[in-house]
Amino acid sequence: MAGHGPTSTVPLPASEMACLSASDKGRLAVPRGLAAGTAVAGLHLAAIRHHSPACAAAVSAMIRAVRPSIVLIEGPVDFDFHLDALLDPETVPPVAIASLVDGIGGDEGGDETRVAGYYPFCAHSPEYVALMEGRAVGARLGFIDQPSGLRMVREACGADTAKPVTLQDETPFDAGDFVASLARRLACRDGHEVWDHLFESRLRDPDWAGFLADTASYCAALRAATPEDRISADGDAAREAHMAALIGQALDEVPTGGGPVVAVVGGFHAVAIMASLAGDGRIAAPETALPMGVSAKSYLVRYGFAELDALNGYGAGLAMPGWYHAIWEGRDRDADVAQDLMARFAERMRIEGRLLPVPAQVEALRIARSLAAMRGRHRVDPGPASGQETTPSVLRHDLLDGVRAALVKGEARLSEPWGERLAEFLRGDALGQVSHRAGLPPLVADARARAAAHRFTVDDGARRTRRLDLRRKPAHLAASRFAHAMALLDSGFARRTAGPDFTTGTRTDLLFEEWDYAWSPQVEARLIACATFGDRVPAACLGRLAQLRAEDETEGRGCDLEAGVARLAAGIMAGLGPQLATVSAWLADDLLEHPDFTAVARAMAALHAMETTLGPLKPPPYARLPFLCDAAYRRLVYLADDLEHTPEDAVPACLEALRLLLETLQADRDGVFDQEPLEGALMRVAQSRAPPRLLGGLLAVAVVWGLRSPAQLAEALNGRLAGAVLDLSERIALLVGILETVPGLLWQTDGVLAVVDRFLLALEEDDFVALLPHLRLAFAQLNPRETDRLAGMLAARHGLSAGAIEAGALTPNPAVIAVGRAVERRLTDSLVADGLDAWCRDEAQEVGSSEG
Amino acid sequence: MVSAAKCKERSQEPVQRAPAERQFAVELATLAEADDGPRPRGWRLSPRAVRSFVLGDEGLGIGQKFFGDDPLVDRAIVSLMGNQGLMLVGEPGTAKSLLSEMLSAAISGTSTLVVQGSAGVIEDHLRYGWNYALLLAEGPSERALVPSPILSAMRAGQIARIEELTRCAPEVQDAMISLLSEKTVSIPELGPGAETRALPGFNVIATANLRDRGVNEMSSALKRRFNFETVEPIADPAFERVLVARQVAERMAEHDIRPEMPEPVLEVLVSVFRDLRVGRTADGVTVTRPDSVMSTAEAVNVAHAAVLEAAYLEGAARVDAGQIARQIRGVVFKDDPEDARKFRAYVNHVAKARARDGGPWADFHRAASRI
Repeated sequence: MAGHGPTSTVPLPASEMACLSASDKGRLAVPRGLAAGTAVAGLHLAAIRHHSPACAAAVSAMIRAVRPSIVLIEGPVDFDFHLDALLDPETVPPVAIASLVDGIGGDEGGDETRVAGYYPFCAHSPEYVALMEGRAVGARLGFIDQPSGLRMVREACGADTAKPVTLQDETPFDAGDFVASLARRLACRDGHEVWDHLFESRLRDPDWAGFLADTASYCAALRAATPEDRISADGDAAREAHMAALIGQALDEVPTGGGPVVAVVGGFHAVAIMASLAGDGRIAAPETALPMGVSAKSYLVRYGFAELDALNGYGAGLAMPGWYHAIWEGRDRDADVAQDLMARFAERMRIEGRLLPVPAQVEALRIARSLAAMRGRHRVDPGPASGQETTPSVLRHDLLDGVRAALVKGEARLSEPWGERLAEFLRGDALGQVSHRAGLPPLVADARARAAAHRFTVDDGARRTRRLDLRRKPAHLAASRFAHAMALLDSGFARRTAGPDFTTGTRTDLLFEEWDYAWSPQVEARLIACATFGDRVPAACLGRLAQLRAEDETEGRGCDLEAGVARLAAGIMAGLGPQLATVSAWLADDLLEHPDFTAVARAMAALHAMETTLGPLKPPPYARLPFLCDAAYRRLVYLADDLEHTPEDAVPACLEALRLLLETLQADRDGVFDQEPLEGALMRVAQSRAPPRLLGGLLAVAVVWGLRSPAQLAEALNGRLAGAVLDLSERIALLVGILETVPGLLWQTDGVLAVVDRFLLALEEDDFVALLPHLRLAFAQLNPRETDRLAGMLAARHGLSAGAIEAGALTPNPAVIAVGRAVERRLTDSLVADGLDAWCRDEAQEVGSSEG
Repeated sequence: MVSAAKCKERSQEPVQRAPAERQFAVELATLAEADDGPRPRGWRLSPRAVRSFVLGDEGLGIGQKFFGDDPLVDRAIVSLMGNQGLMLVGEPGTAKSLLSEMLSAAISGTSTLVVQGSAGVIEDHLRYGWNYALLLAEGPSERALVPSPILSAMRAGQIARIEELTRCAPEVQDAMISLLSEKTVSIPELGPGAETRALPGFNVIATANLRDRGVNEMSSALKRRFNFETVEPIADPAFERVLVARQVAERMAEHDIRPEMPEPVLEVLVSVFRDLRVGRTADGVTVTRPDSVMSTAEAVNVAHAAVLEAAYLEGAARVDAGQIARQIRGVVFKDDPEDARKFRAYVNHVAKARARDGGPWADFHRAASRI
């Protein structure tokens, strides 16, 4: 099998292999045996790509053929104890081993020093297949990579800890000039297509040795084209030494006459491992102790194709796992996977209410097949006569292209729906099952550990009460945040019985919070249900918030800013760290598209208040409050031009919004908001035909801002009051607007009061009576002190003292009272006559008591 | 509308711009010689060789002619192998016509069977007309028949091109439906049963602009007979700058005064267009996208207008970003107040922030906020 040169196998034409060595011939001079993994006697080293079905098939065939006594897998050694649960018949992939590492980055970061790393397995992962086949032939199984904690300490340094870390790094498969130039030569768009083109097309290739020799050559070439400093920066050398050492130990372990050792490692490392094993002398096992204060615990958890696909963004495995699963499932049948998938896709679309006509399906498949033929996709099939024959086979990109060309009718804008639907379909939605032997999911353990760390008693199920001194004791605040997080998860762990509510602003004067809590099996059950959200409490909270958001969206409240702000506040109260960035980004998206001035103004006021608070709601930098405020502000400026068209019934809300905006901007002492564009926008509205009441509010704001002089306001008011408007209430609308927004203008600035006074004096008696209810409503905006002050000023204008008016107004006229009494009595009598005396009884009593 | 016969005549004279099959005759010959792949019936080259012609082949010394989206070219070629026509859509100035010309030159050896869509196109332009002198003299005969480019393409088994299909009236577009599904033109004037059936190799590449106002909506029956490909604007800002500069230089060739367009000013122009086209700036700030077409072609128009302003109205030696700002309003946004508002939002936030560092952005912001 070592004799299989690359050109001796069918699917790799000489020209294509020639590109492999074109980049760096000197460094690529890898001894063939080394690359093929056979340079060391008794060792079969398979250079694979994670989650590649073709590699899985080759590894499976190899293990069946060589019947090893030991099977070793590139995976953290501390995962060994999961093997039984992983290979248990109850466990159905996709599953993952999640490793939670504590204490990275010292003691200071609190919760955020905890990082989660994932090592996923699917049915078509070469590692999983190797373990299953290895167990079937009775081999000893083991992982050989550095302990997960050690790897994640390195991975997490400087990385964003809120995002999942992958323990299967595959970046080299789609990076670098070598891959780019190879893609160009093979007419592929990226490294993933190159891989599919060269290797996944050989899923049914019976020549496993030749296949693995080719993957090894390809990976060795990738390695040779990767700069040395990049490899050392990634810390690969230490890992490779670790793997080589363990393989060396295994080779010594094999009894005479026993089967060989099979090692399945990421292709990128294979050549280095082989080189050190083929060298002289023993390899010393490298240091594996974790740094001080760092500890790691791992768990076998359910995993989904969606998560697996998302991880792809972090350099792990192949995109759209559903596609690879389908070709893996179809490997033994003489099935046309593309056609099957097309039919299933059409069925799925039909259920979703999108009919996919048969001619369109046929055309999509025709294009996919023609593309496969044109792009030279060769499939190796076990043929009856010659042993091997090649036919074009449709690959993932061909099917995507076929659907795109055949189904899109019209211009495909930024994202193209049919391609996206197919991509989502090919991503798959499989969710794995974990054997009960795997124990509790990590979220439960994490929540328990955190509860204990925050000094909640979790050893028994008794209900307890805890008083937390939020403002003075940081430890209590942290405990409160944890309790809030558990409440957000709806875990039933803790219930707040008293205390301030910062999200709604009620009783914020309270210093203490009281919680009623108990750890119970129900809490654990609820947390197990939440385990799909994440493996740590903050990550699960983020998942929960995402779920709440999705629920809002399905109920048609997708863009509800109030809910968005509340979610952000809930996240802050629950003590989320980097996760807040996601919540904040949702809100930013909503803000940037929100159509309503009032709602955006309210959100901006709320956000600004949150930004400036120093209390327990003080947001961490992850929440990006300044950015959110700015986004809201920019949207407001944009929406300000719509104010002109505000309908009458929306005016009060708009005025309220303007007032909030004014307050927020007045509180902005640092000049964070660039006021100029808003001023320009408001001035444009002021000159438009906006409703007069709104105009009043706008002008009032303009005066406060110094954009208009009080004299101009008085002039506008005068023009309006003296104007020829039929409806009297319309005439005072401008005044109402001013009073609702900045009532102080009435007495603080010259001229305005005079204009109002003149207008009222000039009114006819009948008109005044007709206007009175409207005026009352308008002046009701003032508080008693303001009313008092205004009355004083008015009195002074007319040469009186306020007290004189008051006394005069309160002197009762006995004649009027007598008439009123008479009317009252007649009314009461008539009600009694109608049998409605119950109606007037209370009133009569009141009248009676007031008389008394 | 240009008939094939006229084109042939013309090809003998020196011309401003030769059709693709003449301009790249050497490359096509090289490809044909090296081509050992299977050729669909009626095709001059195998699909792989057509791809190499459009996207280049270093080994054979073939230059790349269409940039940006290789899989699109793959899909276009494969579409033409089937029964469906190929419809290239997208904003103006995205090289749709160039792609259609290259494809037909490589597949059929001619790119001149073109119908230029307009409101004046009638059904005759898609089917056949008559030489009326001959028609009166001899009656209907093959000699008196003037075939349309489409009919010529059917008879020769070649690719016909229709530019700006959506500019044709709906009833003319409808005529395309039967042409594409039957692949037959019947000519009853020549007697019962007289018809032309398309030879293998016949297909149609149409281009259309679905965003311009005033174009005719395409019927879904017609849409079904085409596979659509959307040609996106140029993805690489540097390449777009080069393209704009080159085209402005071409347009200014006939003028005596040619003010210089400094690179930073060109960068401002291209950035403004890209930001508004994509709805997101290079540094990730969201921008509301206007409805106006922010294509490279419009950017060239703006640059051209700015150069003219600098040259003839201001007598300036170089264009500044202020002239760009003034021209954008007139050239691009025309009379749509909604778009003007979106442009203002862009000026207020994005341009203003960039103007803080001075330079051409400051000129741009100053001039744009005065509009």
